[in-house]
Amino acid sequence: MNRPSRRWLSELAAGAFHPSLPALVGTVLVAAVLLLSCVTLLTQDLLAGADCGYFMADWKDDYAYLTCTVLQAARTDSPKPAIALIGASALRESIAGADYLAGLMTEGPGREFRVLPLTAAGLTHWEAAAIADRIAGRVQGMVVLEVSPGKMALPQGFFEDLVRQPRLALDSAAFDEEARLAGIALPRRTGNFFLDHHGFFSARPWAVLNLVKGPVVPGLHQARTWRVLSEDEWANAEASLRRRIGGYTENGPRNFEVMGRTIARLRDAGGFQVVLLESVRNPRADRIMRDSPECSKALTMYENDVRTHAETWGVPYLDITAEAELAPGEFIDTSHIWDTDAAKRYTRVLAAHLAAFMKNPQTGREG
Amino acid sequence: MGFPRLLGITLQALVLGTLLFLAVARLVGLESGARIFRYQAF
Repeated sequence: MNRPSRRWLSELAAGAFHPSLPALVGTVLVAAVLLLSCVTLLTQDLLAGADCGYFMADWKDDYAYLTCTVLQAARTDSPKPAIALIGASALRESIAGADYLAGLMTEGPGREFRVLPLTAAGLTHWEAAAIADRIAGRVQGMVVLEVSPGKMALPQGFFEDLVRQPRLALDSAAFDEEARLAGIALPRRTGNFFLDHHGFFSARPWAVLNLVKGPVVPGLHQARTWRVLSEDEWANAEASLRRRIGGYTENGPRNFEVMGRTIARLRDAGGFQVVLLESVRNPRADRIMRDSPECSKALTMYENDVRTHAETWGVPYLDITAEAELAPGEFIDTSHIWDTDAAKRYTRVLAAHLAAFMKNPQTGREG
Repeated sequence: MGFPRLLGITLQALVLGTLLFLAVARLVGLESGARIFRYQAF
């Protein structure tokens, strides 16, 4: 290496590695520009227009995927009617595939449908209210709202946590109204999407690498990658389920009111037929719950309440676990199907019922 | 100040500025309890 080149490199190294006031000012400036870029560029429109995979931390990051899918669904101007499936991971794993269900629906009513799987792990009815609110009036067709005793037994404290640390980056008047009705103080809002949802973005800072690596491909069948539970883990899962369902007596009526208001908002927006779908449960878990007198009492109360609720609101209620002949061996745990054939069977039964509701909206209203 | 030194300072500012931004974002996330929800059955 000749002398001028060596001198050039040593000057470069001195600038790059030695602390200096210009470097400090530059560092702060770069950080400020990045912050400003986020504030101005990370908008709802960007999330609704870009590939969802760019905002996901990994392929299992279903809350990032769900946020983008909802924003996209609310923006897409498709003439095709939609079937929106709003629920938790049990629903996500039960559906063999959005295209599979769309194909079955097309065979039935003879129209083309698009299926929107709006699901995420542990999605609550409060989050479902926000999702329904965002798609109401923007999408025509059918909304399938998943219900379960575990969800309807959730305490208000859980909602307080969701208001403080939302898992979805969605602005929703319905979610805010539910918080106000529950007496929960809403966090201060700035009106800027990035600042108001900074928790959503700061939880996944490394998603920025997707700009280089390319978008993450989401996986809607995560249970197939889970390992089988040991007997000890089964016992823990059962205990956790029993504990949660034990809270139904106290929390159930309040949670059904939230569900009722969600149905009312969808009705007011028009263009939607609402269906309540009971979440799948492993028959083994069901048997264990019914063996516990306290849990069995809460479960019976829930079953009566959900039917009364469906009748009151005039919406069909579907509980198709038995009809789909799901066996304990087809589940990975208390509520997630991992067998492909079982998911297809369940999807076929669901499609047949939804097609019947499409043809005759009065079907199934008797609960 | 010569061009190579200015280039070095710019590189330093770009790398440290990006790291500073990511670190602050992570700190804000940790402070507010922001995390990615993962389902666990047991």
